[in-house]
Amino acid sequence: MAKKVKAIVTLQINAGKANPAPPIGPALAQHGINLMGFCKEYNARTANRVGEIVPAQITIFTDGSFKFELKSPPTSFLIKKAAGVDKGSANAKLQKVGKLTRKQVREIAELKKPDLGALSTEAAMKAIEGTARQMGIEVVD
Amino acid sequence: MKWIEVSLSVDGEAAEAVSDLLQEYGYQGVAIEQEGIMPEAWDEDNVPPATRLTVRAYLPDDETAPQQMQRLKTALGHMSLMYPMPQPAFYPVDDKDWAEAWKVHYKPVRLGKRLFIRPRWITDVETSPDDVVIALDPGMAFGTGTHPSTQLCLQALEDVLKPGSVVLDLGCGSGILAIAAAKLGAAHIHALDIDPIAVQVTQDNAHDNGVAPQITALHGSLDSLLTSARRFDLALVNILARIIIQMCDNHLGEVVRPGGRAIFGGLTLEQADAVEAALRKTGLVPAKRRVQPDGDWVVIEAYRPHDDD
Repeated sequence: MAKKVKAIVTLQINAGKANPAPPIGPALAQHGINLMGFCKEYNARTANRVGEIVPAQITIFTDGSFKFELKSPPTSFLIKKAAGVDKGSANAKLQKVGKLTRKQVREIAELKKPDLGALSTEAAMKAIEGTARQMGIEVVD
Repeated sequence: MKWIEVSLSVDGEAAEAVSDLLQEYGYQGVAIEQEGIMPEAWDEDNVPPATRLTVRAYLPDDETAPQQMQRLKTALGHMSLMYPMPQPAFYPVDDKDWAEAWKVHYKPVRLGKRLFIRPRWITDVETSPDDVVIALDPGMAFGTGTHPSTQLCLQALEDVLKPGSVVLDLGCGSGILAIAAAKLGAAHIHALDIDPIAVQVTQDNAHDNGVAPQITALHGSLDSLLTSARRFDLALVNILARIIIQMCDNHLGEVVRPGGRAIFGGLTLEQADAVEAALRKTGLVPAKRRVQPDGDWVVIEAYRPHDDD
Protein backbone atom coordinates (compact mmCIF):
# COMPACT_ATOMS: atom_id res chain seq x y z
CA MET A 1 0.00 0.00 0.00
CA ALA A 2 0.95 3.57 -0.36
CA LYS A 3 2.98 4.01 2.76
CA LYS A 4 3.65 7.71 3.02
CA VAL A 5 5.73 8.92 5.92
CA LYS A 6 4.06 11.36 8.30
CA ALA A 7 6.70 11.64 11.00
CA ILE A 8 9.93 10.12 12.24
CA VAL A 9 10.47 10.17 15.99
CA THR A 10 13.37 8.66 17.89
CA LEU A 11 12.73 7.91 21.53
CA GLN A 12 15.79 7.61 23.71
CA ILE A 13 14.31 5.58 26.55
CA ASN A 14 15.00 2.84 29.08
CA ALA A 15 14.90 -0.71 27.77
CA GLY A 16 11.90 -2.71 28.91
CA LYS A 17 10.23 0.23 30.67
CA ALA A 18 8.21 2.07 28.02
CA ASN A 19 4.96 3.57 29.36
CA PRO A 20 2.47 6.29 28.34
CA ALA A 21 4.07 9.00 30.52
CA PRO A 22 6.45 11.60 29.00
CA PRO A 23 8.32 11.61 26.77
CA ILE A 24 6.61 8.70 25.00
CA GLY A 25 2.97 9.74 25.50
CA PRO A 26 3.15 13.33 24.28
CA ALA A 27 5.64 12.48 21.51
CA LEU A 28 3.51 9.72 20.00
CA ALA A 29 -0.08 10.60 20.89
CA GLN A 30 0.03 13.77 18.76
CA HIS A 31 0.69 11.56 15.73
CA GLY A 32 -2.18 9.24 16.56
CA ILE A 33 -0.24 6.02 16.86
CA ASN A 34 -1.30 3.14 19.05
CA LEU A 35 0.57 4.07 22.19
CA MET A 36 0.10 0.89 24.18
CA GLY A 37 0.80 -1.13 21.04
CA PHE A 38 4.18 0.57 20.78
CA CYS A 39 5.01 0.22 24.48
CA LYS A 40 4.20 -3.49 24.52
CA GLU A 41 6.24 -4.21 21.43
CA TYR A 42 9.20 -2.09 22.58
CA ASN A 43 9.25 -3.69 26.02
CA ALA A 44 9.08 -7.16 24.51
CA ARG A 45 11.98 -6.47 22.16
CA THR A 46 14.17 -4.87 24.83
CA ALA A 47 13.26 -7.05 27.83
CA ASN A 48 16.72 -8.62 27.94
CA ARG A 49 18.48 -5.23 28.00
CA VAL A 50 16.95 -3.61 31.11
CA GLY A 51 19.36 -1.03 32.54
CA GLU A 52 20.42 0.20 29.11
CA ILE A 53 19.08 3.13 27.14
CA VAL A 54 17.92 1.63 23.86
CA PRO A 55 16.64 4.20 21.37
CA ALA A 56 13.75 3.29 19.09
CA GLN A 57 13.39 5.05 15.77
CA ILE A 58 9.70 5.12 14.90
CA THR A 59 8.44 5.80 11.40
CA ILE A 60 4.80 6.89 11.43
CA PHE A 61 2.77 6.58 8.25
CA THR A 62 -0.08 8.77 7.09
CA ASP A 63 -2.70 6.22 8.12
CA GLY A 64 -1.43 6.05 11.71
CA SER A 65 0.36 2.75 11.31
CA PHE A 66 4.01 2.66 12.27
CA LYS A 67 7.16 0.62 12.40
CA PHE A 68 10.23 0.99 14.56
CA GLU A 69 13.79 -0.18 14.75
CA LEU A 70 16.09 -0.29 17.72
CA LYS A 71 19.28 1.74 17.60
CA SER A 72 22.53 1.53 19.52
CA PRO A 73 22.56 3.25 22.93
CA PRO A 74 23.50 6.96 22.92
CA THR A 75 27.22 7.66 22.78
CA SER A 76 27.20 9.46 26.13
CA PHE A 77 25.55 6.46 27.79
CA LEU A 78 28.27 4.15 26.46
CA ILE A 79 31.01 6.60 27.43
CA LYS A 80 29.71 6.97 30.98
CA LYS A 81 29.41 3.21 31.31
CA ALA A 82 32.95 2.64 30.02
CA ALA A 83 34.44 5.42 32.15
CA GLY A 84 32.49 4.30 35.21
CA VAL A 85 30.93 7.71 35.90
CA ASP A 86 27.30 8.63 36.56
CA LYS A 87 27.27 12.03 34.96
CA GLY A 88 29.19 14.10 32.48
CA SER A 89 30.86 17.32 33.57
CA ALA A 90 28.64 20.39 33.91
CA ASN A 91 31.50 22.46 32.52
CA ALA A 92 33.69 20.29 30.36
CA LYS A 93 36.31 22.99 29.78
CA LEU A 94 37.15 23.43 33.41
CA GLN A 95 36.22 20.21 35.13
CA LYS A 96 37.25 16.71 34.02
CA VAL A 97 35.26 13.86 35.52
CA GLY A 98 36.85 10.73 34.09
CA LYS A 99 39.04 8.94 31.58
CA LEU A 100 38.60 6.61 28.64
CA THR A 101 41.32 4.57 26.97
CA ARG A 102 41.73 4.60 23.22
CA LYS A 103 40.79 0.92 23.23
CA GLN A 104 37.47 1.72 24.93
CA VAL A 105 36.85 4.48 22.39
CA ARG A 106 37.44 1.96 19.62
CA GLU A 107 34.95 -0.49 21.15
CA ILE A 108 32.28 2.19 21.39
CA ALA A 109 33.06 3.32 17.83
CA GLU A 110 32.59 -0.21 16.50
CA LEU A 111 29.22 -0.44 18.20
CA LYS A 112 28.03 3.01 17.08
CA LYS A 113 29.43 2.96 13.56
CA PRO A 114 26.22 1.82 11.80
CA ASP A 115 24.09 4.51 13.47
CA LEU A 116 26.63 7.31 13.10
CA GLY A 117 26.76 6.84 9.37
CA ALA A 118 30.56 6.86 9.74
CA LEU A 119 32.53 5.40 6.88
CA SER A 120 35.35 4.03 9.00
CA THR A 121 35.98 3.08 12.60
CA GLU A 122 38.53 5.90 12.73
CA ALA A 123 35.90 8.46 11.72
CA ALA A 124 33.51 7.04 14.32
CA MET A 125 36.30 7.19 16.95
CA LYS A 126 36.77 10.89 16.22
CA ALA A 127 33.09 11.52 16.82
CA ILE A 128 33.17 9.50 20.07
CA GLU A 129 36.26 11.37 21.29
CA GLY A 130 34.52 14.67 20.54
CA THR A 131 31.51 13.66 22.60
CA ALA A 132 33.76 12.44 25.44
CA ARG A 133 35.59 15.78 25.53
CA GLN A 134 32.28 17.67 25.73
CA MET A 135 31.38 15.52 28.71
CA GLY A 136 34.64 16.33 30.47
CA ILE A 137 36.05 12.86 29.92
CA GLU A 138 39.66 12.66 28.74
CA VAL A 139 40.87 10.15 26.22
CA VAL A 140 44.21 8.60 27.16
CA ASP A 141 46.46 6.09 25.41
CA MET B 1 1.18 16.17 37.77
CA LYS B 2 2.07 18.93 35.34
CA TRP B 3 5.08 18.96 33.10
CA ILE B 4 7.43 21.42 31.50
CA GLU B 5 8.36 20.56 27.97
CA VAL B 6 11.86 21.63 26.98
CA SER B 7 12.48 21.76 23.25
CA LEU B 8 15.32 22.81 20.95
CA SER B 9 15.58 22.78 17.20
CA VAL B 10 19.10 21.69 16.26
CA ASP B 11 21.03 20.47 13.24
CA GLY B 12 21.90 16.82 12.72
CA GLU B 13 25.37 17.24 14.16
CA ALA B 14 24.32 18.83 17.45
CA ALA B 15 21.31 16.56 17.93
CA GLU B 16 23.11 13.73 19.64
CA ALA B 17 24.97 15.99 22.08
CA VAL B 18 21.79 17.92 22.94
CA SER B 19 19.76 14.73 23.31
CA ASP B 20 22.39 13.30 25.61
CA LEU B 21 22.30 16.40 27.75
CA LEU B 22 18.50 16.48 27.90
CA GLN B 23 18.55 12.78 28.74
CA GLU B 24 20.12 13.72 32.09
CA TYR B 25 17.31 16.12 32.95
CA GLY B 26 14.24 14.75 31.23
CA TYR B 27 11.84 12.29 32.83
CA GLN B 28 12.49 8.82 31.38
CA GLY B 29 14.38 10.06 28.36
CA VAL B 30 13.99 12.25 25.30
CA ALA B 31 12.08 12.35 22.03
CA ILE B 32 13.84 13.46 18.86
CA GLU B 33 11.68 14.34 15.88
CA GLN B 34 12.83 14.91 12.33
CA GLU B 35 11.68 18.33 11.09
CA GLY B 36 10.39 19.34 7.68
CA ILE B 37 8.50 16.20 6.75
CA MET B 38 5.96 17.01 4.08
CA PRO B 39 2.90 14.80 4.55
CA GLU B 40 2.21 12.59 1.53
CA ALA B 41 5.58 13.44 -0.02
CA TRP B 42 7.90 10.64 1.07
CA ASP B 43 7.72 6.92 0.66
CA GLU B 44 9.14 4.76 3.36
CA ASP B 45 12.34 4.08 1.40
CA ASN B 46 13.20 7.55 0.14
CA VAL B 47 13.24 9.62 3.30
CA PRO B 48 16.08 12.12 3.07
CA PRO B 49 18.52 12.25 6.00
CA ALA B 50 17.57 14.60 8.80
CA THR B 51 18.98 18.09 8.54
CA ARG B 52 17.10 19.59 11.47
CA LEU B 53 15.64 17.86 14.47
CA THR B 54 13.54 18.92 17.42
CA VAL B 55 14.75 17.44 20.67
CA ARG B 56 12.19 17.34 23.49
CA ALA B 57 12.34 16.36 27.12
CA TYR B 58 9.85 16.72 29.96
CA LEU B 59 10.59 17.93 33.48
CA PRO B 60 8.10 17.31 36.27
CA ASP B 61 6.71 20.76 37.15
CA ASP B 62 7.45 20.55 40.88
CA GLU B 63 9.48 22.63 43.35
CA THR B 64 12.78 21.51 41.78
CA ALA B 65 11.74 22.68 38.30
CA PRO B 66 13.11 26.25 38.39
CA GLN B 67 16.49 24.99 39.56
CA GLN B 68 16.56 22.22 36.94
CA MET B 69 15.68 24.68 34.20
CA GLN B 70 18.46 26.99 35.30
CA ARG B 71 21.02 24.18 35.38
CA LEU B 72 19.90 23.00 31.96
CA LYS B 73 20.25 26.52 30.54
CA THR B 74 23.74 26.77 31.99
CA ALA B 75 24.77 23.40 30.56
CA LEU B 76 23.39 24.34 27.14
CA GLY B 77 25.26 27.64 27.43
CA HIS B 78 28.52 25.72 27.89
CA MET B 79 27.66 23.55 24.95
CA SER B 80 26.94 26.56 22.76
CA LEU B 81 30.63 27.47 23.06
CA MET B 82 31.32 24.42 20.89
CA TYR B 83 28.21 24.43 18.68
CA PRO B 84 26.03 27.37 17.77
CA MET B 85 22.85 26.56 19.69
CA PRO B 86 19.40 28.15 19.95
CA GLN B 87 17.89 28.93 23.34
CA PRO B 88 15.68 26.17 24.71
CA ALA B 89 11.92 26.81 24.73
CA PHE B 90 9.94 25.88 27.85
CA TYR B 91 6.22 25.15 27.66
CA PRO B 92 3.87 23.97 30.39
CA VAL B 93 2.11 20.71 29.47
CA ASP B 94 -0.89 19.34 31.33
CA ASP B 95 -0.79 15.73 32.35
CA LYS B 96 -3.10 13.81 30.06
CA ASP B 97 -4.18 10.29 29.64
CA TRP B 98 -1.86 9.78 26.71
CA ALA B 99 -2.70 6.09 26.59
CA GLU B 100 -6.17 7.16 25.45
CA ALA B 101 -5.44 10.52 23.81
CA TRP B 102 -4.18 9.11 20.51
CA LYS B 103 -7.54 7.50 19.87
CA VAL B 104 -9.24 10.80 19.04
CA HIS B 105 -7.53 10.58 15.64
CA TYR B 106 -9.78 7.68 14.64
CA LYS B 107 -13.46 7.54 13.85
CA PRO B 108 -15.63 4.88 12.25
CA VAL B 109 -15.95 5.21 8.46
CA ARG B 110 -18.79 4.07 6.24
CA LEU B 111 -17.70 3.15 2.71
CA GLY B 112 -19.43 2.01 -0.44
CA LYS B 113 -22.88 0.55 0.14
CA ARG B 114 -22.42 -1.75 3.11
CA LEU B 115 -18.90 -1.47 4.44
CA PHE B 116 -18.34 -0.05 7.88
CA ILE B 117 -14.85 0.16 9.35
CA ARG B 118 -14.53 0.94 13.03
CA PRO B 119 -11.66 1.12 15.51
CA ARG B 120 -12.04 -1.80 17.87
CA TRP B 121 -12.62 0.40 20.93
CA ILE B 122 -15.65 2.14 19.40
CA THR B 123 -18.50 -0.24 19.95
CA ASP B 124 -21.57 1.97 20.30
CA VAL B 125 -22.17 2.38 16.57
CA GLU B 126 -25.43 2.08 14.73
CA THR B 127 -25.28 -0.50 12.01
CA SER B 128 -27.94 -2.31 10.08
CA PRO B 129 -27.99 -6.11 9.73
CA ASP B 130 -26.85 -5.82 6.10
CA ASP B 131 -23.72 -3.88 7.04
CA VAL B 132 -20.36 -5.53 6.68
CA VAL B 133 -18.54 -4.38 9.80
CA ILE B 134 -14.78 -4.60 10.12
CA ALA B 135 -13.10 -3.80 13.43
CA LEU B 136 -9.43 -2.84 13.26
CA ASP B 137 -6.96 -1.13 15.55
CA PRO B 138 -4.18 0.92 14.07
CA GLY B 139 -0.91 -0.77 14.79
CA MET B 140 2.27 -1.91 13.23
CA ALA B 141 0.90 -2.72 9.79
CA PHE B 142 -0.47 -0.48 7.11
CA GLY B 143 -4.17 -0.22 6.38
CA THR B 144 -6.58 1.15 8.95
CA GLY B 145 -9.22 2.21 6.47
CA THR B 146 -8.36 5.87 6.84
CA HIS B 147 -6.19 6.06 3.74
CA PRO B 148 -8.01 7.19 0.58
CA SER B 149 -6.34 4.47 -1.48
CA THR B 150 -7.57 1.77 0.89
CA GLN B 151 -11.05 3.28 0.86
CA LEU B 152 -11.19 3.29 -2.95
CA CYS B 153 -9.99 -0.32 -3.00
CA LEU B 154 -12.71 -1.32 -0.56
CA GLN B 155 -15.37 0.33 -2.71
CA ALA B 156 -14.05 -1.37 -5.83
CA LEU B 157 -13.91 -4.69 -3.97
CA GLU B 158 -17.54 -4.39 -2.93
CA ASP B 159 -18.59 -3.80 -6.53
CA VAL B 160 -16.38 -6.39 -8.19
CA LEU B 161 -16.25 -9.36 -5.83
CA LYS B 162 -18.44 -12.31 -6.70
CA PRO B 163 -19.40 -14.57 -3.78
CA GLY B 164 -17.40 -17.77 -3.78
CA SER B 165 -14.34 -16.21 -5.43
CA VAL B 166 -10.79 -17.18 -4.65
CA VAL B 167 -8.93 -13.94 -3.93
CA LEU B 168 -5.31 -12.85 -3.73
CA ASP B 169 -4.32 -9.95 -1.47
CA LEU B 170 -0.78 -9.05 -2.46
CA GLY B 171 0.78 -6.73 0.14
CA CYS B 172 -1.88 -7.40 2.74
CA GLY B 173 -0.65 -4.99 5.47
CA SER B 174 -3.20 -5.04 8.29
CA GLY B 175 -5.34 -7.49 6.28
CA ILE B 176 -8.17 -5.01 5.85
CA LEU B 177 -8.87 -5.89 2.20
CA ALA B 178 -8.65 -9.64 2.84
CA ILE B 179 -11.05 -9.34 5.77
CA ALA B 180 -13.48 -7.25 3.73
CA ALA B 181 -13.30 -9.83 0.91
CA ALA B 182 -14.06 -12.62 3.37
CA LYS B 183 -16.99 -10.74 4.84
CA LEU B 184 -18.32 -9.95 1.36
CA GLY B 185 -18.47 -13.62 0.55
CA ALA B 186 -15.12 -14.71 -0.92
CA ALA B 187 -14.51 -18.44 -0.53
CA HIS B 188 -10.87 -18.06 0.27
CA ILE B 189 -8.25 -15.31 0.43
CA HIS B 190 -4.56 -15.88 0.00
CA ALA B 191 -2.89 -12.91 1.74
CA LEU B 192 0.80 -12.24 1.22
CA ASP B 193 3.20 -9.64 2.55
CA ILE B 194 6.97 -9.33 2.53
CA ASP B 195 6.76 -7.89 6.06
CA PRO B 196 6.46 -10.66 8.69
CA ILE B 197 4.77 -8.24 11.11
CA ALA B 198 2.03 -7.61 8.54
CA VAL B 199 1.47 -11.36 8.21
CA GLN B 200 1.04 -11.68 11.97
CA VAL B 201 -1.24 -8.65 12.18
CA THR B 202 -3.37 -9.95 9.30
CA GLN B 203 -3.77 -13.27 11.08
CA ASP B 204 -4.71 -11.54 14.34
CA ASN B 205 -7.18 -9.19 12.66
CA ALA B 206 -8.72 -12.04 10.66
CA HIS B 207 -9.20 -13.95 13.88
CA ASP B 208 -10.73 -10.97 15.70
CA ASN B 209 -13.16 -10.41 12.84
CA GLY B 210 -14.20 -14.04 12.78
CA VAL B 211 -12.87 -14.79 9.31
CA ALA B 212 -9.64 -16.64 10.11
CA PRO B 213 -10.81 -19.86 8.38
CA GLN B 214 -11.17 -18.06 5.03
CA ILE B 215 -7.81 -16.29 5.11
CA THR B 216 -4.36 -17.80 4.70
CA ALA B 217 -1.77 -15.14 5.50
CA LEU B 218 1.77 -15.94 4.50
CA HIS B 219 5.15 -14.30 4.27
CA GLY B 220 5.89 -14.04 0.57
CA SER B 221 5.87 -12.08 -2.64
CA LEU B 222 4.88 -12.37 -6.28
CA ASP B 223 7.82 -14.69 -6.95
CA SER B 224 6.51 -17.30 -4.53
CA LEU B 225 3.16 -17.26 -6.36
CA LEU B 226 4.57 -17.56 -9.86
CA THR B 227 6.40 -20.74 -8.96
CA SER B 228 3.15 -22.23 -7.70
CA ALA B 229 0.26 -22.97 -10.05
CA ARG B 230 -2.19 -20.78 -8.11
CA ARG B 231 -4.44 -18.55 -10.20
CA PHE B 232 -7.04 -16.24 -8.72
CA ASP B 233 -10.51 -15.00 -9.56
CA LEU B 234 -9.61 -11.62 -8.12
CA ALA B 235 -6.27 -10.04 -7.22
CA LEU B 236 -6.05 -7.08 -4.82
CA VAL B 237 -2.82 -5.12 -5.12
CA ASN B 238 -2.78 -1.98 -3.00
CA ILE B 239 0.91 -1.13 -2.82
CA LEU B 240 2.67 1.65 -4.75
CA ALA B 241 2.77 2.55 -8.45
CA ARG B 242 6.48 1.85 -8.74
CA ILE B 243 6.14 -1.63 -7.23
CA ILE B 244 3.06 -2.48 -9.29
CA ILE B 245 4.97 -1.55 -12.46
CA GLN B 246 7.95 -3.68 -11.37
CA MET B 247 5.66 -6.61 -10.69
CA CYS B 248 3.97 -6.19 -14.08
CA ASP B 249 7.40 -6.59 -15.66
CA ASN B 250 7.63 -9.78 -13.62
CA HIS B 251 4.47 -11.47 -15.00
CA LEU B 252 2.02 -10.13 -12.40
CA GLY B 253 -0.88 -10.67 -14.82
CA GLU B 254 -0.35 -14.42 -14.80
CA VAL B 255 -1.63 -14.81 -11.25
CA VAL B 256 -5.10 -13.74 -12.44
CA ARG B 257 -7.02 -16.56 -14.15
CA PRO B 258 -8.37 -15.90 -17.64
CA GLY B 259 -11.65 -14.06 -17.10
CA GLY B 260 -10.53 -12.98 -13.62
CA ARG B 261 -10.23 -9.47 -12.28
CA ALA B 262 -7.75 -7.30 -10.41
CA ILE B 263 -7.85 -4.09 -8.38
CA PHE B 264 -4.77 -1.87 -8.13
CA GLY B 265 -4.32 0.89 -5.57
CA GLY B 266 -1.60 3.06 -4.09
CA LEU B 267 -1.16 5.27 -7.12
CA THR B 268 -1.88 8.87 -7.95
CA LEU B 269 -3.51 10.37 -11.04
CA GLU B 270 -0.22 11.25 -12.64
CA GLN B 271 1.00 7.65 -12.25
CA ALA B 272 -2.19 6.06 -13.59
CA ASP B 273 -1.22 6.10 -17.29
CA ALA B 274 2.12 4.41 -16.59
CA VAL B 275 0.47 1.76 -14.42
CA GLU B 276 -2.18 1.06 -17.07
CA ALA B 277 0.52 0.68 -19.73
CA ALA B 278 2.35 -1.78 -17.49
CA LEU B 279 -0.87 -3.74 -16.85
CA ARG B 280 -1.45 -4.13 -20.59
CA LYS B 281 2.06 -5.51 -21.03
CA THR B 282 1.35 -8.24 -18.50
CA GLY B 283 -1.89 -9.25 -20.22
CA LEU B 284 -4.41 -7.29 -18.15
CA VAL B 285 -6.97 -4.89 -19.57
CA PRO B 286 -7.64 -1.73 -17.52
CA ALA B 287 -11.40 -1.27 -17.33
CA LYS B 288 -12.18 1.46 -14.85
CA ARG B 289 -10.56 4.17 -12.80
CA ARG B 290 -11.86 5.34 -9.47
CA VAL B 291 -10.51 8.72 -8.42
CA GLN B 292 -10.56 10.08 -4.89
CA PRO B 293 -13.10 12.92 -4.63
CA ASP B 294 -11.11 16.15 -4.09
CA GLY B 295 -7.83 14.29 -4.25
CA ASP B 296 -5.53 12.48 -6.58
CA TRP B 297 -5.42 8.86 -5.37
CA VAL B 298 -6.58 6.43 -8.02
CA VAL B 299 -7.67 2.81 -8.04
CA ILE B 300 -7.65 0.89 -11.32
CA GLU B 301 -9.87 -2.08 -12.02
CA ALA B 302 -8.65 -4.47 -14.69
CA TYR B 303 -9.47 -7.92 -16.03
CA ARG B 304 -7.65 -10.70 -17.81
CA PRO B 305 -9.39 -11.66 -21.08
CA HIS B 306 -10.39 -15.26 -21.69
CA ASP B 307 -7.82 -17.13 -23.75
CA ASP B 308 -10.16 -17.28 -26.73
CA ASP B 309 -11.04 -13.58 -26.64
